[in-house]
Amino acid sequence: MSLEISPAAETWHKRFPAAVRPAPGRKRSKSAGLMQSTDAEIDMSVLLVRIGRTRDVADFELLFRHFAPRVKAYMARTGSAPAAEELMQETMVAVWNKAGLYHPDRGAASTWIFTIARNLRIDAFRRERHPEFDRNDPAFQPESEPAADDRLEGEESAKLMRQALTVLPPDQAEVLRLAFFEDKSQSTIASALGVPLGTVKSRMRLAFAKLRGVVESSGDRS
Amino acid sequence: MTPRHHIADDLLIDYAAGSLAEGWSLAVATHLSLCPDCRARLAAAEAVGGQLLETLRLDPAPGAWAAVRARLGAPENAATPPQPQAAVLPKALRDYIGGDLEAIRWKAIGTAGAQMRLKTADGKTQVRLLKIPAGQPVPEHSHRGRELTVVLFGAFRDGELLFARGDIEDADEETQHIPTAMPEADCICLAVTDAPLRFTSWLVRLVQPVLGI
Repeated sequence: MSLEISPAAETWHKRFPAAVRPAPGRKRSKSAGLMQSTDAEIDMSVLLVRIGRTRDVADFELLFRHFAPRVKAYMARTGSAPAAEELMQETMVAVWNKAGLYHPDRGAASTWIFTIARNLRIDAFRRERHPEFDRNDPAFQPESEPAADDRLEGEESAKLMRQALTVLPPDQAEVLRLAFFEDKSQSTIASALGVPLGTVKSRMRLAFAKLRGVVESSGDRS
Repeated sequence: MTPRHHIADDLLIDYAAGSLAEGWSLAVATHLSLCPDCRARLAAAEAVGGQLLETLRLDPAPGAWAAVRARLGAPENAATPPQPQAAVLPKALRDYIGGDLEAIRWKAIGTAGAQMRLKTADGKTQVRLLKIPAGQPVPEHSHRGRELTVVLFGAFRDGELLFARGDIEDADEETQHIPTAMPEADCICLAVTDAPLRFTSWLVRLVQPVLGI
């Protein structure tokens, strides 16, 4: 019986809250500028929040230049090039329309845009719904403690996760890519790779433990 | 009280990746509505999707920006659609039923309770609401595939384990179990399977096609 949560998942669980708590000195105000001093990279989450507030088309063009090629490539993994182009445009229009609903404390801009693209892909290619929770639902069980304003913002932990992804062992990176990009469930991945399902599950679990671990250890550092 | 039996890693990752069939996804979304811990895990899994997205690149068509710019209209109203004052079932589920508990159209399964089947588009899963009468067992059964059960109201006991609101039981073909509703109230669950249940009793097996379980 697989009723109990796996040990790895339990650790993830218990330790995740620590992952989003920054160490002293890492705190960054929400009004931080778009340009980050370290790498002169545009902070897409700050940009997206601003678009939601001001509806500035020039700001949105910056966001579009960054994400349109990524979303198109994502769509092209499961569909033809013309379909990918159309779904990319649909995704970006949805990003503009919903920008006011984006909350940076729940994740990076890339995460939020990924979920919008993912749902449009499911709808377009599988004609299925992707049932989701709704925070305004009276039956919704809220977090017991309100989100503290000193949480590590999505963009910072996202950057750490991005670095960790580049050093994953190839077999672990491969199962992640197959799951996220090619619309393959873990059992489909197992038959595609000709390995037992348990192997795919454990590669996936190891990959996640590692990605979480990096975010956590940095969050704990003082 | 928040749930104590959670979503397995593989389901959570497939849900975040968007590769999980609709029926399983409904069970996952129902649990997520009731479980802050699993929502934190989901946020991490979706962040992986966001970072993988950052690694891709394929140039848009030459006129893409102009085309999108021409489609930019008024923002979606941040005001959410009207919600009821109170609800027992999470919204993800109410959307499939057309309302809360009172909207469920129960069909009796002999004397062993009642069910309502819910339709999904995945063609792989069978999704149903189950009502187990207070203090009664679901007939002992095993599975050819996987079965996810999310408790919505009341509670059931399976062996040593207690499952209450929001808890998810994840059973596979090795599981032979007798979930029994706690005596205080009828237990209402969401059950998702990928193959018909296999009842241990030949008598139940005989009537299974008639009952549609």
